[in-house]
Amino acid sequence: LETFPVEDRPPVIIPFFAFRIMVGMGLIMLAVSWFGSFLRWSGRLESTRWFLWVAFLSFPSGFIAVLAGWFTAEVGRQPWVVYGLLRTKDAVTPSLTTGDVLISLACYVIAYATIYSFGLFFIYRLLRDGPGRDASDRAKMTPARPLAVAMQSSTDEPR
Amino acid sequence: MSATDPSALALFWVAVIGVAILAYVVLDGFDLGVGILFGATKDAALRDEMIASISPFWDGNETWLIVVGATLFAAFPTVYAVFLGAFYIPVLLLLLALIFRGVAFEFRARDAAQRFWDRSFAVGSLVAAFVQGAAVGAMIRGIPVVNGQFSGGSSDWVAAFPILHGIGLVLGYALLGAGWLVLKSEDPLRSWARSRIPMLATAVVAFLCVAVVTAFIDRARMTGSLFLDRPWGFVFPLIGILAIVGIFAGVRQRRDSWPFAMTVVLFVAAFLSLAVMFWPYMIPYSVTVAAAAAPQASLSFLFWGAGLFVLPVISAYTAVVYWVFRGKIRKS
Repeated sequence: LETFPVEDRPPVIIPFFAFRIMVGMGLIMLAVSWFGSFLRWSGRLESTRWFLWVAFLSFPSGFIAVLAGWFTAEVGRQPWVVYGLLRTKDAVTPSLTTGDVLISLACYVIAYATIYSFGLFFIYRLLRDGPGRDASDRAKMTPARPLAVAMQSSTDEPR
Repeated sequence: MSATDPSALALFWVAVIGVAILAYVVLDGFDLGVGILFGATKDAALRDEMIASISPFWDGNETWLIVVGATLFAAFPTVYAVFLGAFYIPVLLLLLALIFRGVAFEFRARDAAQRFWDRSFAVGSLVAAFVQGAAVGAMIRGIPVVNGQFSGGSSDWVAAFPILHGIGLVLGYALLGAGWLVLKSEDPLRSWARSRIPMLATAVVAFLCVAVVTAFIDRARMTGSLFLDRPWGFVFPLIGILAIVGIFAGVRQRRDSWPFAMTVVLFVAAFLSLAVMFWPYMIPYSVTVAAAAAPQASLSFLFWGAGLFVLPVISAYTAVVYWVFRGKIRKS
């Protein structure tokens, strides 16, 4: 990195940690899946309580890995928007004001905070209730969507 | 701005964008319209049936918006840059509206905060329709462009004419949605939707009268001609008038497919009227098709990849989905 001039370097600290978090999550997922396979093979998967807790609590690992990977790519690319051709500061829309950008950023943060809170809550509840949910849950499905059709075809006679 | 004729490839990509915009307006138009009508009833059974009538289609319909955006980005970067600069706030509102509305499809069926998600669905549909109309209205008015960049402010679109167009498109989409519900459902939803068509159609006609007169005055002011250089273009408004007659006739004679089909014809006629009116401008009175086109090498690279492969695939799966889910919705 030292061979690049200072003005061509990204803020290294962010991709440094983001990349390690991403790889760490990948290793956790690998460890969980391989160890789970091993337990399954030795017939202890459903009785190893601590492992089931680990598998349950690792549900956000995929989301965290994706976000960290995104930060690695986007921050690591700076100060270029097209590498070697166009700098981010030269790519900004001239008519755009700081206020506009601030408003839009705040709106997206609020929107995603709301939706992800609900999403995480629903995923958590799904995991907490565990498998074996009965057919009465189908009433709560949005009709004519992939999930509903999949559940229908697995429990009903073919249409 | 150069006044040279656009190349054959530029014409191909303009046609693609035209078809994609039309496909988006007609397809997402009816499901946004159903969302707007969703906000007009409190009856849970009607609401569930409305959702069921659009849930296999709505996300596929929004693909066409992405086709429009991606094609503009690649083939007409100037228009893309000006459009997003001029409509930064409307596009922000459009995305937020589509996000909340899209999530509501899945989240409203879970037993937490259903009222919130139902409201998100109705308001999201309304806002998405409104800002699309407002952007079209502002485009018709003309956008200030200097050196291929938008030179106005981010709230320029908040003006009487764009707001009128926003309301007009909300009414238009609601009409399209009502026609869709008549086509896809049985009573009581069918008669509920049918009884709203005359009122909506009347409002749309009133809006169109105001919009057309204003647009003609604008055009005369900007170009010094009153559309007389392309008299054959008047055939499209005439088709539009016939379509309006067809909508009312379809309601009176209780034909389930007429209101939707005729509203589609009306939208196509309105789109083609605008296209004929503004040709060869891509952004009215400031950027022509030829001036906006990307370099020839980009256009031909796109043609062999996106043009010959991606577009047929999207068209094909769209057709398959509508075929699979044809006919009236089944009550569960």
